[in-house]
Amino acid sequence: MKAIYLAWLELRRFRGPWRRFAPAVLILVPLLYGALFLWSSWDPYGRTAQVPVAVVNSDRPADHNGEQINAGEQFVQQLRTTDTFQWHFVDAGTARSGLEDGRYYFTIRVPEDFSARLAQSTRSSPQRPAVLLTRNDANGHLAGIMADAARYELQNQINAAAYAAYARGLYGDLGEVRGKLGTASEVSEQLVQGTQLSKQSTGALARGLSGVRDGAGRVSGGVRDVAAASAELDDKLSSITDFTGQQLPATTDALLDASSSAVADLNSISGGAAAAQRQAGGSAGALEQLAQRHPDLADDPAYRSALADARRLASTTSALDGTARDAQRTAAEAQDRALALRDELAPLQEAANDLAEPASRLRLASAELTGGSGGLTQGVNALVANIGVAQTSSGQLNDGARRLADQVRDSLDRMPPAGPTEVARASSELGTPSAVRATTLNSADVYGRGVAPLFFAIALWVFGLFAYLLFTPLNQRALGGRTNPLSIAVGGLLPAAVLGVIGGLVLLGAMDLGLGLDPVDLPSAVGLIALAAAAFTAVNHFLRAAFGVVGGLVSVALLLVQIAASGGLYPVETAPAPFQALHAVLPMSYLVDGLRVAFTGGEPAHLARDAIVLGGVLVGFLVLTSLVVLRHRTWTIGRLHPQLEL
Amino acid sequence: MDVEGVSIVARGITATGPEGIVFENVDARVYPGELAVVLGEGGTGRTSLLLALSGRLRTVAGRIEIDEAPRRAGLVRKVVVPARLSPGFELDGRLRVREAVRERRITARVSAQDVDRALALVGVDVDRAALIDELYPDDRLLLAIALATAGGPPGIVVDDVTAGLLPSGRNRVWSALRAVADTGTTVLASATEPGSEADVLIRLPYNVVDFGDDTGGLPLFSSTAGEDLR
Repeated sequence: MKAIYLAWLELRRFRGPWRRFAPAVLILVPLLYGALFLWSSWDPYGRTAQVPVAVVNSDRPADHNGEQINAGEQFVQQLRTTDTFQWHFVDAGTARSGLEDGRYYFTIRVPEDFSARLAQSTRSSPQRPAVLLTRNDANGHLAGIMADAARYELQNQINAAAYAAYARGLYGDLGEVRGKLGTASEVSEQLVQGTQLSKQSTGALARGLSGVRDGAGRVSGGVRDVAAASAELDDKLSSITDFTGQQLPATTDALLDASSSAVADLNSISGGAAAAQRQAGGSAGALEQLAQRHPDLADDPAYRSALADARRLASTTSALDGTARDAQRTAAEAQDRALALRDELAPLQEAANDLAEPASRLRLASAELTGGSGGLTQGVNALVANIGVAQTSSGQLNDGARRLADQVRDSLDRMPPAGPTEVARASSELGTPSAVRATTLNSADVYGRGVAPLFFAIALWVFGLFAYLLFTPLNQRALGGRTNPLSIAVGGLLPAAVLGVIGGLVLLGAMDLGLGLDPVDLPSAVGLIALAAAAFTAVNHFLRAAFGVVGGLVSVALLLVQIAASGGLYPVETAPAPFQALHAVLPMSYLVDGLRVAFTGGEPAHLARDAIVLGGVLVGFLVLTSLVVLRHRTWTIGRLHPQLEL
Repeated sequence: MDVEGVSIVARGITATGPEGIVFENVDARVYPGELAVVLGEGGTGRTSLLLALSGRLRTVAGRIEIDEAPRRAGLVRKVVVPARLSPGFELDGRLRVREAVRERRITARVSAQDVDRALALVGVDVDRAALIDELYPDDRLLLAIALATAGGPPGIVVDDVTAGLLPSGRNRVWSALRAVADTGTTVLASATEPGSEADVLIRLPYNVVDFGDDTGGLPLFSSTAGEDLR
């Protein structure tokens, strides 16, 4: 209660038209310090589009395989489409002078040989095209660091431009190769078809030739038969000639003789026959007369047989007579014919002689024909054998052509297409052949949000520092009286601590609403800020109570050391060893760490640890201040007449 | 009023600061209920001597006896209450009178009646709602004296009684201090000129008291030039 009343009395001191606002202004100290700084540098990397940068394109287009490469212009066009920086496309002199007098933060120059080097890149000894980036740290070193950050972005754009040019060269060639491969593919298809036909026709030819071979074999057989027959014919004709020449006349003569004799014989036969007939007739008549005279005889068997015989003899001799006359007539005719034959024999002999000569020729020719047809058969056999080989070859040829066509088609399929869209996509993919995909746990998103913990910590510390310029650390009358030291210490701490907590929360609210700090764990942020405001104020309270003005200087020193050692900007590992050693023992390190967890996320265990440490700092320094109260109940001359006074 | 005052005896006390000796070899003897005035020019260590005699400043030599014996400084601070020490113990000009009264009641555990009686004793009647800074300097000092006297402490310390006061004011304050001393409270004051009411004068930079044989204590320093001011 005493402490609270002492604190209230301390606040009551601020009255009057202006003084009454002093605590309110004090509340705004963290806001002024933290908010102004964070506001000014909340997202510098997001606003680089406002940073003027000069771009100089000195590039001269180069020829490559008849195609013009103008990579510098392409790069410039690419830059125009981006708003990474505020590009000024100027000449070299303007860029240089602008960089020197601070109109540009840095310059980007595309050298004269940029395209030329690119054009060579598809050749055997490629040279890397380079773009020159010139900074002037007189314009601020951090601007240079921004340029460095932009360098990777630029690198990507240059790569894309370079690749586009490169790809135009390479893919231009590839397109040609692809076209030729296409033609080759078509031709090989035709080849396959052609060899297919050839294979089929050699098959047909082979089959046809087999027929020819059979035919030739048969021809040859026929020819041989013809030869044999003609030889036989010749022989037969020779014998015919002989026959007609020699045997036939003799025979004819003999025939004529025989027929003559026959005619003569037959005449005599005919006479005899006629005599016989008459006698037989007379015998038969005599018998009949007998019967008429002797009717009894008519029935007698012997008579009857004798009559029958006589009658048969009479008819036979009659027939014989007739036959003898016919034979006589026939013989006469034969004799006539034999005579005629003898007359006709001479022309026949001549004709037979005439026939013999062509028959001989025929025999000779057919002999030759036989020989020829033998050769023909052999030739046809050889031809058939060769056609077999040809058939096999054309089969292989067709297989080969087929494989060739397959391979050409395969190659064609594997050739990347080289249309403008494909080139564009390839250049964006291959222009940066690899990509780093970064994932951030508990991302701060913007610079300001990332460094906010440090500036909150600084703001709260600065508040503590300022607070005891205004507030009396210890109530002197209480110090001179009997009030217990802890009450006096708390009474001295409370007014500033309360305002500090309020000020810290005002800062938090302003950051959240104004800049979008958006802490992931708002209750923890509120709690930690309140605790830290109290703890930092307690430290400053102690320093002011114990050392007076010197304590303020110590506080400033501590602030600077803590900024350096808290790891709020760069990782503490990058700081020299003394800072790393101090890092663990300075309270600001824990506030920065804890606020990181509360603002952008992290390990809750850290938050708990940081809260415990800050609470410990608060309690510890309150105890220390109480000890100071005990000590201060006894004055010293040094305190009575301070060596330093504000 | 019947307060049992405190007796204060200092023998050859010396205090040093960062810039050397503040006062050196000072003797003093104050009996209970006396009004003792430390006299000296500015910078001769009047405040320091008051602090030392009220147990609020460490001396490097000599000895101080409170009620005839050396006491713990804490105990001395309890019995000898400051009304004003400048710098170090002054009413805050930006508080109202009632706030100052309340502060005193909190820090010294005295009742409102004690304060009223003390105010009546020193003869000051101020508007409780007024700011201390708005008070006349003599009223302001009398208020401080009254607040210190409230509850009847055995001794009070009042620094720089005459500073900034007109002669009439000075007389008022001296009278008030006389009245306080008359209640039995030992009053240690400092001034640049001796008040008419003073029982004992302690002159700075050098004050020598002839303690004689009755002290029973061991003289730590030989008394050279003795001058009994009583």
